[in-house]
Amino acid sequence: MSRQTIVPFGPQHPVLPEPIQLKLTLEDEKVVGVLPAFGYCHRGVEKAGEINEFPQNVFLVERICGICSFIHALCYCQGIEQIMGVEVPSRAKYLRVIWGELHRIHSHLLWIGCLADAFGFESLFMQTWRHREKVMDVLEKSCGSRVIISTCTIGGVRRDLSDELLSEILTTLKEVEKGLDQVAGIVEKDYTVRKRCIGVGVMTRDQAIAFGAVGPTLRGSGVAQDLRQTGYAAYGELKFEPVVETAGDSYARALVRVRETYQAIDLVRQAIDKMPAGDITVKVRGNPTGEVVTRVEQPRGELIYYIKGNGTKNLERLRVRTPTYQNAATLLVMMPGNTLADVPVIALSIDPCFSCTER
Amino acid sequence: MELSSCTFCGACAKRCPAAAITVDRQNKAYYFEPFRCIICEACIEICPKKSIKLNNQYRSPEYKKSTVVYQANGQEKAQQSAGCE
Repeated sequence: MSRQTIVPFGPQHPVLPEPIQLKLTLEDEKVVGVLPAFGYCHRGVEKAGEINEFPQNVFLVERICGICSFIHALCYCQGIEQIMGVEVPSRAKYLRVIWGELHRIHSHLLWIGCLADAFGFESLFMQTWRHREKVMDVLEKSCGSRVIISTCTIGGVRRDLSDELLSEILTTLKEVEKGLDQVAGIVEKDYTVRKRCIGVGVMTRDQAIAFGAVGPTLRGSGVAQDLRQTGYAAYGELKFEPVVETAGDSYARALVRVRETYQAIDLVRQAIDKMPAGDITVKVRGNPTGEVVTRVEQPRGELIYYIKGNGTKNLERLRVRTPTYQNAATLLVMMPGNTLADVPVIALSIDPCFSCTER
Repeated sequence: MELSSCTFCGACAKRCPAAAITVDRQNKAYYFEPFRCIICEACIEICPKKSIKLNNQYRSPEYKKSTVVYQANGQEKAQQSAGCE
């Protein structure tokens, strides 16, 4: 039997977007065990959520994660609206879809860039992020901020998109799509990408279900589950099918995300096409009483919020279950059997967002 | 911030997610800490008298964190340095 060494991967590592420590047990170059250690990003958001008044929490939960911030706010607002029985205007639902999908596009583009960076393909990384900049410009033009846009509010949205802005979004998406064609072609066909990703970090369908994987990590292993099928916001009125790959390796997960970016562009186009006129917000009075569980589809998977109100302005409990919380468990089955050099690629293939996980 | 229309109701202070506003109703004083502000515009939305406004200028850099004090009773605005926090 070869000697086993324990190598700490992280908490600081160039490939990780946020700090996490993975204690890798290695036999020579092969990984035989992995033990994640969290805690480097914890900021006590759930406790702060109880101290704040419930309208202030929208700004708090937005800042749990920078990449998917709007979707956190969306989930929270949906939860409070469900407890208080508020019906959001139709236009606001479509606007939420547009901003949510724009976040999905920029998140997946960010991820493709990070994946390329993980195996040293810096030029692809830079090009992908350059295309992503166009989406950030659109966000800045429509909401004033590139990352944390603060447009979702309880009862609707705070900003409207004028017709000029909508047509500008469509023009920008055309350019992003052209850039994505180039990037997607490389991800699908380039020798380096295929060599580093095919067969690396395999998770079978049964393992994915047993470990509770969510999002593209689950869909890359052949399970067609996407929370957007439940029809929250305006998704019930838009046409889309979950993107599924069956191979279960990092390559499959990469393809799922690339195809989802195209799908997100298509969803934004559908939403702009079908957008009704009307109000963007309704007045919300009173305090939330009762409890609710809401789920939305974040770029990384299923995001669950449990909100409990007791009739006062402060919430009794705010519990956030982010997708990387679940997907981190899948690392335990994906990493063993691969070499140390594959560890960054596998860790990235679940699209980790530990600032979300540790709140 | 328009001191003349402010009623010192304190709704903005309650709504601010960053606790950047403090309102002293008794003494008719309004304290604003610009370095805590996250420019979320929640105070602007909630103000019943629409006293608070946001303009298009970026905040200028400063050497020290200060609190901007708006005091009613004759004085328009007094800038008070509260030191670093």
